[in-house]
Amino acid sequence: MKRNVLLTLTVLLLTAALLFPATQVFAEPQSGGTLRFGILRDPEGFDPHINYGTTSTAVQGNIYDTLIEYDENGEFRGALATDWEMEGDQTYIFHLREGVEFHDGTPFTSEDVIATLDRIKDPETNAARHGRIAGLFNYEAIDDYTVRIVLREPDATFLHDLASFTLYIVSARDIENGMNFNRETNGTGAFMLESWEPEGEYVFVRNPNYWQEGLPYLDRLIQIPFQDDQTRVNALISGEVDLIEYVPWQDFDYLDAEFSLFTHESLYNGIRLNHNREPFDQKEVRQAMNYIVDQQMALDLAFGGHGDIKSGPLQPAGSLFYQDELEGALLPDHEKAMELLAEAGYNSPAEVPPIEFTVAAIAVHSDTAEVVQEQLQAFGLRVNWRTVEVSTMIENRTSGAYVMQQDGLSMANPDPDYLRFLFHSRDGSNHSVGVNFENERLDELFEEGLKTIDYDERKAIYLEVEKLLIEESPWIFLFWRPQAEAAHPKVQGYTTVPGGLGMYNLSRFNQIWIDDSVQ
Amino acid sequence: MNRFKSIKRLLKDFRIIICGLFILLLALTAIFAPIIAPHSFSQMNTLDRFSGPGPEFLLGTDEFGRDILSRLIHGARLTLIISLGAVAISSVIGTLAGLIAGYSGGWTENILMRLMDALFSFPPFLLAIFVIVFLGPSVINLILTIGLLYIPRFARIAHSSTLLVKELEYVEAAQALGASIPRIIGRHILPNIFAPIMVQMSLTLGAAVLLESGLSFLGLGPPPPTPSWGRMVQQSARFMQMSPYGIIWPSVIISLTVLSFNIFADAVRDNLDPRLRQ
Amino acid sequence: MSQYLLKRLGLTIILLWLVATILFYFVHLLPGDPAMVVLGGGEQHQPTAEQLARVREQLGLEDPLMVQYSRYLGGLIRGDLGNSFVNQRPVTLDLRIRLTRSLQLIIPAMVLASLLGIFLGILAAGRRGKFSDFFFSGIALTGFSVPVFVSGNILVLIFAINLRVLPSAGYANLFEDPSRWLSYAILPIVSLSLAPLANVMRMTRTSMLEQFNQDYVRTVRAKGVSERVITYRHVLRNALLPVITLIGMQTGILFAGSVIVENVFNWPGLSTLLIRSIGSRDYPVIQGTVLLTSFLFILVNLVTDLSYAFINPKVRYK
Repeated sequence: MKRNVLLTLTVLLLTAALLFPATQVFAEPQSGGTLRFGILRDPEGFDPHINYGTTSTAVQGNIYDTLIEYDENGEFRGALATDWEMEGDQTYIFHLREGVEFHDGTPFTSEDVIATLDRIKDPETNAARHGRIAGLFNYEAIDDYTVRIVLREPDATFLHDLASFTLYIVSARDIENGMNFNRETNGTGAFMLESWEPEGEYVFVRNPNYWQEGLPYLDRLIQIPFQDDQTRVNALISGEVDLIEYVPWQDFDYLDAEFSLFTHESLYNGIRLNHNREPFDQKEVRQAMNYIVDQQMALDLAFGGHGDIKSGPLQPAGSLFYQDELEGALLPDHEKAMELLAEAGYNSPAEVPPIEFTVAAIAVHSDTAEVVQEQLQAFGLRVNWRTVEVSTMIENRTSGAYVMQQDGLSMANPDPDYLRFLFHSRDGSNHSVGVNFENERLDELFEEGLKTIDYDERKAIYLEVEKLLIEESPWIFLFWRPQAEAAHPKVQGYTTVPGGLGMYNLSRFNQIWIDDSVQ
Repeated sequence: MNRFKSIKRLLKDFRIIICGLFILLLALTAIFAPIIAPHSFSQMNTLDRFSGPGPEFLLGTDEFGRDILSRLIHGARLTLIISLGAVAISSVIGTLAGLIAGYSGGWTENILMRLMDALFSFPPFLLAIFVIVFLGPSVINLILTIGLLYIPRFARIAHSSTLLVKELEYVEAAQALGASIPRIIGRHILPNIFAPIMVQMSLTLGAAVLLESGLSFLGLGPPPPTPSWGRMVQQSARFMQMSPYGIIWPSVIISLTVLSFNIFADAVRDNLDPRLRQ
Repeated sequence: MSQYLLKRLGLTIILLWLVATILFYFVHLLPGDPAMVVLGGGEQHQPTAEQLARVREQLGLEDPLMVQYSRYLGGLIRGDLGNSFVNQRPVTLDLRIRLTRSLQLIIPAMVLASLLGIFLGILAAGRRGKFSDFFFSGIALTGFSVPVFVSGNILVLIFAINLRVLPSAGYANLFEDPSRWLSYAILPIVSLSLAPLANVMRMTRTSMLEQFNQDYVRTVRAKGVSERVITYRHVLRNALLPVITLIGMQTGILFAGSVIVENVFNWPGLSTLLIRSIGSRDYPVIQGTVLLTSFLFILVNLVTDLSYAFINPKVRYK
């Protein structure tokens, strides 16, 4: 009996000894080790200029580098460019990093930057940023390590484009040799793709010649797809993997207690209203919709309350352009909704014609839609649900073949200019194209906001933009839905990028290290 | 053939009584759903999510705080409408096709029955998924799709039974006396194939409930807010760790319903099909 | 026999051509534009009409439908199913990987269903009218009345969530890590096998009982041969014929029926691929998957019919 007590004590002490280093805040990073990362689905391709959806970022982003990137505060820092300067409002000079090599040993020079931009500009590539690069006034190499890019007009968001995924720099020689970028890889990034099997393991090894001294810490990085949310979570719990993405909200609390949970907001849900179709051809009805729907209740029921409602400001809280002034402008107010409907000529909600609600059959959309449908019906409106597949939902964005459509989108960059991609009347804007949405004042403001560099002036412009959007109500603005990654406590150095840039978390594995002392 | 006797015999089989009662109960529930259901099937409640069975919510609540019992009751309506509709379509069209094929013979028979073979050679569930993806999930489309899938079952039975009956002496005699074709079919052939068609209808009802709930489980079922049993299982499966009730109750009710139709079919066959009566 | 064989083979080829043709037009008529999916779904910038047209051209979707159709049929004859629109991989590569994984569920499930089904069927037939017969028949009825997503989820609830002895879903490579494979595969195999098990058992029982009523059994019995010998030497052999046919048909059904089981257990087999490719309008992958499934379905039925005809000559002359 006594021996048992002793044994227990020893075990306890040992455990404590093992656990304590883990709680040290200033542990020194250790090199070596393997990180096993559970991803959402099979990366569909490796082409660094094509957007395969967010799941490919972790592959593309760790193999390739951009000219500049976001730091932990969401601000720009040099990557393949060491620094940059502006000549006037429209010309950028980038000084490239010397001594960088691609994985195959080819040195990186300005030639590669030009060839990359050319490749994106070439319509045959189908690059995601084709329109952006094709719209540049000029770009040229001044010498081996200097590049000049000239814009047609001043553009406050240009640097965001350069820092974003799908603008990774590839080698000019690979382009010349006709490399199949979809199947082969050769970047300057921290990791090199060693082997892969569809739906199986994607094995990366450390790039020994990586341009950041001493990085990456990891020897190997293995990415394994787990399509099912619960399977992915179980894989983390059982120790099969050390890190997972797309943690379902049901597991937030549990994982936060036992593991490290990294939550962020970069995706949002909203409902498109087609202003060409009855009853949304009347502005008052659209406005009323925003007052009928209780975003907080929708968030509580569809995502367990995790996330952040759009109570007015359309930027995520904590972002540079968050408009405090609008707080509460979109909170539910049924009396006001009734008044608005009456203004539109409907004396009771039952008089409003039935509304067809198009919803894609995926949980992150349909859960939200189910709550909204219930809220609208409880108010007295008639809502007919129409299930479609994701591809139809996507096509509807361009064709406008909907009355009311549940949607979810990610932000292009943390700049409020992302609203231009939705609501500017031209520029292939996501919402406007399908339904010919046009508001002249809004167009003007977007264009002005893009050209304006001064922060205060810009913030004032976007305040007016958001007010106008609330007034026009082209959408039912709902919420930022919760996103999270979870890791075993031994995984150190995982950093999140703020301001709706969470998608970039996964392209920064060069900083991660494994703390062996944590079990 | 003495109908009273056979009905009496049927009623002696306790399987028929029990399953028949269950089906009757289900049908009554479906008809009077709005009266019976203790709560609204769609009302959500943030505070009452994932409650277990209790006095307020007899079977507990789901992830949106909705009353599971009320949802099951309203779900019965949807399930029965779809499966009855589908079976009505497949039994009428299938039986007619089989009768015509069997009675007329020759090319008509060949074409009709090869068509049925072709329909049979598609994996049924795959075909259902495809048609629904193509047409879009709605109650009408589900009825049409499931109905279409089960046509060959009835056609084959009607066909082979017609062939047998056609050769019987009294049918030949009626023919010789100049009875019209509809009359022969109506008076002589139909009553004789009635039993196997009945059995097949009960079996097909079970299969239709299975298929409908399976499609709903894959998200290809009737759209919300009307609850569908299969969709209830699908939605609750994600929350199994938080509360198992959302998945247990609809699972039980789907299984019991299919089971009742199958046992019913079994019992009717045992009692009415003289070859199998032992 | 050879004439019958030729006729059946001919019919099968016509049937396959029919399936392939219907499938082709069906898939191309589906609402939804694959080019849109390839271009990233317009998350931020909506692709322009020219961009969409270019991608459609690259994918060969701008050609007249007849041209696409003949290209597709030509590829089929050479055994080339084209490349995926989404990841550009040859469809045959993915199908091979996926089929192997699906078979890892279907084959064990069918073996389990056949062996256990026949065994229980014999047992039930031997005790006709007794409690155990009633009991087994009840179990069998339940087996094919319970939907796979119900049995699957109930198994998960018991073994993964309450007892925590098996993982709830997932996949491991059979050839690399058999024990881990088993831990993932056992629940899907069991729930997949329930319906065919019930069918096989019922068929065995009925068929055995029919044989027991035959004259030859009475003759043998009159000779004083023991019941045991009658059952296993005489009755069983004849009774198994329809059972084998049924097993064949059930295997065919499982090729398409594993959709739900793969879905419940997140098993990356053929069905998961099908559902995903329908979602992304990846025409070559949809066509490839459905063709392969239908082909296997038809093939299994053909082999079953042929073996039946081989054993029972009467069929040949029908």
